[in-house]
Amino acid sequence: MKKELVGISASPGRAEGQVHWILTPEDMKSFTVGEILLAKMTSPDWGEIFQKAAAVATEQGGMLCHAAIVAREEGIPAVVGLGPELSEVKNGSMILVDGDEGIIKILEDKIQ
Amino acid sequence: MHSFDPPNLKPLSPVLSLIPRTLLPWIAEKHTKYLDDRIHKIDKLTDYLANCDPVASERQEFISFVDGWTRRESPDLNTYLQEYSKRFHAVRNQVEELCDRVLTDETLWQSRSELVMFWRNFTYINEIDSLHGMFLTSGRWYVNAMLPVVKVLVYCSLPHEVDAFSRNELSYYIARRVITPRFAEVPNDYDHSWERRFAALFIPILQYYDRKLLFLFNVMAEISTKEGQTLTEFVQDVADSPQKYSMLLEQGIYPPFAWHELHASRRPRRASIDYTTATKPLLNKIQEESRSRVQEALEMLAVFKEYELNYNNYNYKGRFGLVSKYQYWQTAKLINPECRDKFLDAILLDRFYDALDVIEHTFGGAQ
Repeated sequence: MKKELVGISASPGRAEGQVHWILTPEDMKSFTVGEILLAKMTSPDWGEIFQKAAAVATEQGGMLCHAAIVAREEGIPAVVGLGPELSEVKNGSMILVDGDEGIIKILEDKIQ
Repeated sequence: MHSFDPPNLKPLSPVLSLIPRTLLPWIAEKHTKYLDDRIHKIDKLTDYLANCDPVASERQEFISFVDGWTRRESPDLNTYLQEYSKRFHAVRNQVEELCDRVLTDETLWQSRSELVMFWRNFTYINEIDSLHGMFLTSGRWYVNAMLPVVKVLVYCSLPHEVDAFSRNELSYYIARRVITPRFAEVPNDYDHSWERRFAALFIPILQYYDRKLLFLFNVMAEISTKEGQTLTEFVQDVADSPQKYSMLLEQGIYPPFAWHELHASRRPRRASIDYTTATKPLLNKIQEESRSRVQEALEMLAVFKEYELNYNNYNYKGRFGLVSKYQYWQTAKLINPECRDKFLDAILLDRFYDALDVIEHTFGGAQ
């Protein structure tokens, strides 16, 4: 897969961490502080996850979407609108979310 | 500039007095489930919203309306907002009328043919309402009502080196990319560095409005709740002590619908950004001749955000969230038990025409 994906800058800053996808309600329970939240989109009931996440990256949404708004409020980097290619980034991979440049970089790919 | 502010939301106390108290925990539970479930099925939701056949012509017309204004080189934003406002108010008034009927017209639940007619109308209006309120859910649909305004901000903030010929087209693509990336098709030679440049100028402005939009975090943080309180207990507390929550109820906000914010709001927040600081980076990049256009667009942005604050975020605000769930519950009681879950599942996934199908299948033309 590509080592870099281009999305939209939604919240400034840069953060590295391990990918944690949230695709089902169960995925939320194991989320730990400092992980990078990856999702198709986020929801208002994910408030506490945003407080644990080091950064956010989403498949859908633009600068006005929920993930963008809450990430800015929490002061964590966010890149949104990365498209379906984001789904190729596996849980546990190490990535850099660059909210200033609107990109994510895969630093260490986790093969599943 | 005309006043385009949406009307204030109505107090919720009269609504709460009309809904059976025993139903309130069910409403809160369904509301929470609605938020929990739908986000994990976002592709299905997006596809339905973008392809719902019964409103295809209305959707296409609205897309053309917003997209046409976004493509214009020098749009009169005042006129755009006036036209948008008329459309928005017309739809919202119909939603409010439907809410009145659910709350006050007992005959609705006594005549099955009346109920089918009501649901046909409701389903249609509900879809049209979604089309007109596209501010926040930008990833889920083709256009967003703020696009023409954002495009003007992009256009005026591009540097001189972007020639007049390509400026309009480039601004259009950038606006589409930053607001509706999923549906933005850009040329092969599109340069992403332009959108990064704009995003850096736009983020502080959004941060200013984010704080207004997320004002519930502050409000909910002031509410005292018991350790380990459940949603049902919270619902009961609101019903038992409405005076404790009167500030929210009077604004048209039902506190249990902000249940998740209640838990997320316990952390101290950073100081908010003021308007001058928020707009300075953008204003520093524009040419003097564009200043009045940019000021106008910034004012429009404020108006759109007011719409968002008052209506679009109906996860929490206005009586629709409460009244509609009362309507679903009343209807579900009348549906064949074996079809009831199918009906509620369709509702919870925003598939209202599927829900209507269950109703029509169950009731047909029965009296």
